Amino acid sequence: MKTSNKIIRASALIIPLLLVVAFLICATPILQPKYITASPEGSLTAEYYDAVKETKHDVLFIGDCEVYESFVPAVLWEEYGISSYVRGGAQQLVWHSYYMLEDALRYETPKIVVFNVLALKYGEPQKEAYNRLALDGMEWSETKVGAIKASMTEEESFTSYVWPFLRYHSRWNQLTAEDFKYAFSDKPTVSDSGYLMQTDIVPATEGQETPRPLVDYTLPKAAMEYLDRITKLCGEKNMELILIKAPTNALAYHWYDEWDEQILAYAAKNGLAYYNFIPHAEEMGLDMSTDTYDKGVHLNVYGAEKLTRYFGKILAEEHHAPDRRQDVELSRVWNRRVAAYNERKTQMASVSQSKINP
Amino acid sequence: MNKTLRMLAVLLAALTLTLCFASCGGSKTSDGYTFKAPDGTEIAIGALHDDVIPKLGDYESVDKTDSCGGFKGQDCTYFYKGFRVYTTPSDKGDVVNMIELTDDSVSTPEGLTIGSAKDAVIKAMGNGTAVGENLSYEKGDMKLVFIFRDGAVTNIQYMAK
Repeated sequence: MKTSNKIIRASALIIPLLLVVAFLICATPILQPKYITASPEGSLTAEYYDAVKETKHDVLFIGDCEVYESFVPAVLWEEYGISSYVRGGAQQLVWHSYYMLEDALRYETPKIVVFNVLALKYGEPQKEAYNRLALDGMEWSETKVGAIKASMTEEESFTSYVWPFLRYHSRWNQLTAEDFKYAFSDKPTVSDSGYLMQTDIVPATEGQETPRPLVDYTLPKAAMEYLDRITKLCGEKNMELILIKAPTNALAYHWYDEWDEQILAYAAKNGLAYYNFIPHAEEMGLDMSTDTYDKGVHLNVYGAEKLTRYFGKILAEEHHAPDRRQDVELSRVWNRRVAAYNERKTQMASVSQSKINP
Repeated sequence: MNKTLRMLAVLLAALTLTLCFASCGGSKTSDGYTFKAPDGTEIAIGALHDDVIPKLGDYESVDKTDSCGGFKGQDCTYFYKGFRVYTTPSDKGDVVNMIELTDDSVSTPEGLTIGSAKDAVIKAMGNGTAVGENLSYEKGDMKLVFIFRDGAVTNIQYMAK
């Protein structure tokens, strides 16, 4: 009798707990955003792992939207035989980029790391939503723990990264068919080696407005400290660090001359190459009436291909990024990636065209 | 047994409350300096777009930028004669996150405008915080910034801290 009472008591405790655990295990993958149709940028971090298990890369791009919308690894391969990957993200701040690099080093050691400098204007975490896009897809490791701690805004908790249910429980009334379809199955890839394609054409407008003057042009100390850490890490691993600024320079994301001077000085002090592509936009053939999908803020695929060809030549000739086209195994991988890129481009261009001529 | 069940109920209730309140946040409204447009519309940092922009009438132009990451809403800059109003999406809708005075056709409620001398700014506003040649004043959760060149104001900005 006593034994059966004990069993009943134990069951009264254990069964509800098991139900709660089972609910959390099932609900979390459904509630977590899938980042396919909406905010595909949230898939970029996770897509790297399959790619790097397939092949290593000689060039790794890190930075914000100005890398994942500007550099096309498929073109770098086709034109120069350079094996590359873009580890960029939406408003990926410099500490995100540092940890993306550290995370990549768990799998490979590229010869060249290319960092886009625009994010250096931010000295503190900006929005939780961007942290989620960058970090939710990162594999768990000491690096991810560091990345979360460095990135969290005041309102965020580390626990909600460990238990995503705490963050996403309120999505229950926003769920779409996609959330159920991909809750327990593989998602389609949204990028081509980290490049997120855009095929729409929305020309830049020729505004007369001048950018807002700043009270202080000094790039934030916290941002520059992380740039130091990137520089140091590259030095330790014998990787060449190249600093770049993408050729876009819209009013809302203006790159000030005063910032440029600081980066030039930093590059000179640390023996780094720095390419500000803004003054070279015309030289590389960019036409902001056709080469942007959002009025000049970002490049579309046509602009990105032009920039990639231009920079690929620099990477090959001045930085000796190796031409791997004679490597049969690597060629097999890249030929498949190039084919997938071209197929996506054809499909997306067709959709863009149908928007113009419905 | 009853005690155990009560404890379990309390734990579940606590878990439910935690889940309900986790990640729920709000946006702040400024209680600092405000700008009065020439038509009398008073604009505060944190004010709702819909409470401000329609009242200001026709703007000269607007610059709208989608957010990276495909989130809803756009960052907007509305250009008026003498000033610009910047808005950004928030939990409660688009809100004013910056006001910039660009010429001497408008002034702050303290009577300061583009071209005012640094002495006049200090006399009206106090010493403030110097950032290089510029001066910054904090009140509530926002700040008012005066940018100078050769001792005269070239730009005035109301912004969140």
